Amino acid sequence: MRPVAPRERGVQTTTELLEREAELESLGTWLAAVPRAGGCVVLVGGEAGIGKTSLVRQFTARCNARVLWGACDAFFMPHPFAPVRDIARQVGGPLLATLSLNSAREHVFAAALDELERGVESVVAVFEDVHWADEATLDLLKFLGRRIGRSHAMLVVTYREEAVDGRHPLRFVTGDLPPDVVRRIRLAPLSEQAVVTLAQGVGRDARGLYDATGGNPFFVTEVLAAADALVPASVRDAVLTRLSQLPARARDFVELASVVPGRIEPWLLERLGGLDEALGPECQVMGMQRGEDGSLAFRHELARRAIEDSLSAERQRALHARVFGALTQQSRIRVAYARLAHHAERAGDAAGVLRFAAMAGDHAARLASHREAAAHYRNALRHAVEVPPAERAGLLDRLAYECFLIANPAESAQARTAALDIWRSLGMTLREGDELRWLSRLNWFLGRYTEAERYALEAVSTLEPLPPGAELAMAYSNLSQLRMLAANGDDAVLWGERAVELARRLGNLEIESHALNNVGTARLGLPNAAGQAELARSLELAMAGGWQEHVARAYTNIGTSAVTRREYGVALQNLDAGIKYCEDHDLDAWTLYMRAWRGRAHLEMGNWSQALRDAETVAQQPGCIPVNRVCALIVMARVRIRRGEPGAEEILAEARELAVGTQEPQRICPVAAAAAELAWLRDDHAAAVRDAQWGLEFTRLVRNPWPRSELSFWLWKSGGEPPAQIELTEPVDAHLAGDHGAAAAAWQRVGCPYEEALALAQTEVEEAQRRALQIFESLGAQPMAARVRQQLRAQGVRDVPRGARASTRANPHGLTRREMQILELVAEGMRNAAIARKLFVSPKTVDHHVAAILAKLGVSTRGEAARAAHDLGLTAKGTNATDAAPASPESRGRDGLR
Amino acid sequence: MPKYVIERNLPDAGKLTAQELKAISQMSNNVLRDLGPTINWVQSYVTDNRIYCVYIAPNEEMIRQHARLGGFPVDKVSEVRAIIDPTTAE
Repeated sequence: MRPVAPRERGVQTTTELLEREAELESLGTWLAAVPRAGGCVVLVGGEAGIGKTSLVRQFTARCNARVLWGACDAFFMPHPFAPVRDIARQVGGPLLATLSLNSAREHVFAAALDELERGVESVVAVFEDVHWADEATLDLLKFLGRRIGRSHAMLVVTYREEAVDGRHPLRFVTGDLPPDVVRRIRLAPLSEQAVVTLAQGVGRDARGLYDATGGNPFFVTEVLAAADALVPASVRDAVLTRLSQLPARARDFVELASVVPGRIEPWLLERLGGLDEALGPECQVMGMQRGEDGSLAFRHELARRAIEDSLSAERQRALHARVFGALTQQSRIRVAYARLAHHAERAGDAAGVLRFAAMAGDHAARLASHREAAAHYRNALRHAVEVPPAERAGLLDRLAYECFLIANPAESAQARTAALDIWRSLGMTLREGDELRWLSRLNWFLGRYTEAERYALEAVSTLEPLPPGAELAMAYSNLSQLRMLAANGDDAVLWGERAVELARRLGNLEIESHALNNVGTARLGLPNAAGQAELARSLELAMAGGWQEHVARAYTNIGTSAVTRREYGVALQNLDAGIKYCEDHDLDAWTLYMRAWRGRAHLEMGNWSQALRDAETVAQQPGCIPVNRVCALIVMARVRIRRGEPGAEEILAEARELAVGTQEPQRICPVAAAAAELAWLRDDHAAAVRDAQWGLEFTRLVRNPWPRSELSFWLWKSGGEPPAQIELTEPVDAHLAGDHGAAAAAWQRVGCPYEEALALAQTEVEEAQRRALQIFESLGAQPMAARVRQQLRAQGVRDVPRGARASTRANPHGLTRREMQILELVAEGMRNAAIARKLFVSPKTVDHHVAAILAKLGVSTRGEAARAAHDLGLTAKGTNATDAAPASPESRGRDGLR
Repeated sequence: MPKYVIERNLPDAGKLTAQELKAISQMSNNVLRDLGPTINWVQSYVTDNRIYCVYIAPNEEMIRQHARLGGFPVDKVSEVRAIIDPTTAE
């Protein structure tokens, strides 16, 4: 969409210059700063017709940089990477190659980034109308936004503000961008003076013009371009009046053109028989223009929509059918499936929608735009009423899989149940068995453990009579997985090895990877590193085969098992890698599960703020599945318990209920341990003993000695009798033998400072107790710190360190704990209003705290404060706003765009 | 060194424009350069929905590696056992 038609130029140029100087200057300044300060993202927002495109066009025409231009389409469902394709056609090379090859999105992302980093000259990349962007493009924006600071590119993103409400995906993208690379422009309507100036410029009466148009530049332009002096009531009226004045043939053509969003390519113009009309002056009158490549488009979407919406439903259908026909009855040019589905939908062509929506879904799925793929499949299913049942079931399966990947097990199960009925009615036992296996897995995710078990067994019994195949292998593996999750290691290995053997016989590496994971995880309870080999092989196979879900599961099980064995180095290595992998591949369900466990690792390592960051992110997810929630809640409860903060009981009560529902030791034991610890801190030894014993019941089948060690520890501390002759762990053995010094040393080797301090506090040695106090204070463990202080005084020790707020003493700038808390949130890019909401205090209070923080740190801006926070080690690498997900949906939503 | 025929499924491959085909070829050449002299791309046949490629490489793994690095689909890799033409009949 390039040079403007002559008629428009006069008014156009004047409009651009009016009251946009400040914005143009800002853009120029920001671009000039790029070589020195690094790249940035400029968000240009405003209502429709406000002149976003005009502004950016003006800027890019004058700027001293390489310009890349892409636009998003107004299709019913967007085409993946639409603006990126525009840019790819301009630059060719690897970016064009990856899009043409339907390569996985990582390749597209990398190629796009390369394009921005290429060469020495600054680059301005424009993404227009991003409120219409597809999922893959939005994820690309997030990806680029996080890295653009290191490049010499300015990414300009325009969007319609009124189209982006609180839940629009764009908000999550912009809210996720590192605050220091984001710049914003909000275009305001023209002032009355400007409107008058414009009118006078074309010799027209300005009376009533400002009132009627509200200063909207497009509206003003439309009115002034009309022949008569009457001011129409709306843009729509202005456009339609003009349309009615055209000769019949031209009018017909314009109406036809109005149903095509975006550009009409030359070849399509030809097929629609409109080449002559396109060249005519009527099109220009109607605000259409020819691009450099000969394509035709409305200069403004508002005009196009005004015309399209004015057509009767019947005429719209007919015109869309004509376009659909022209697009499909040729075989030379590739047309996006989303585009075909759009016209089919509007034409009322159910078969067309079905066909192309399904293909659009497949395409989106391949590009890992799972949300979009699901939406396409849903659309296809809506039009699949008269389709052979098997085809319908196939669509249901594909929808179910996408829903599974976006952590929507409820809808997934619904679709699979419908598919199951169809397979049964058709007597297709193989598909039936596979569906049963899936339903087992889905029901586990939904927390329905009895059903999960029932489906798992039914799957195996349904498939065993048939010749052995992949479905049976997966059914075995699924059963193995259920057993593994229930800590029934022996059965897990039994079924798992059966699955591995069958998979190998079939030469099916994917299932082999899946089954090896279960076997390996089940075997990990043993201390002699059994199981590691299987898990490593599982991950290797999964990576090689590109089976993302299996990669995620491998990282998850290696990481979480390491946490349960308190091998924090291995745990963090795998959880960090796994979370990154899942975030890169949009595998939400796994990201959350691993975050919850990473929270637990940090809790046990004494990094309580980090632990809370992960745990709270998980707990605040709407529709969080039970197993994720339990894990996160336990972390949140334990931090409160140890810090002496209120609210631990309620959280623990909910965690207990969820854990009991699962009946799985790996959920119940941590709850029991936390409950015992809380009771012990309250000196309610009877309750502590009860809780510890309850947890110990569930450790019978668990080979890993740590869960029962932890529970035995609390049991013993509360005066209970730990079960005799069971294998425990080094620190707890030392405790039971009465050698608390050795226990402390052992805890230190493991890396658990809180337990180390508990052990030190129990020795009779003053030096050790002082050390314990120091550790408790640096952790912020008020209850235990107070206890140790009391203990020291009771022993007659003088000069016991005062109970000054531990955190104030711990940091050199004298920030209070509250101020540290707020500083962390500031460092994450949160605004004061969001901080106030998060901490349940008034915004004024936050303002005062922030002022105090700046003063104490000796800085003058939030950005500098954030840097100071990093230097203080408050925001460890990988946990500032650049890389981590935002702390809460609220802070993302309401403050993402302003 | 073995010769391989590779099948790459790509819907509407037959409709790729000259510009796209050029970009894809450039991409393939770049990856091959990085992989070293042992792997050679002989020729590819672009049909409506699939591309058939002939490569000379020491093993299948290298072919898959080339595909992974370049983002090429790989649906089947078959080693060529014999090449015949009308003169083989003599």
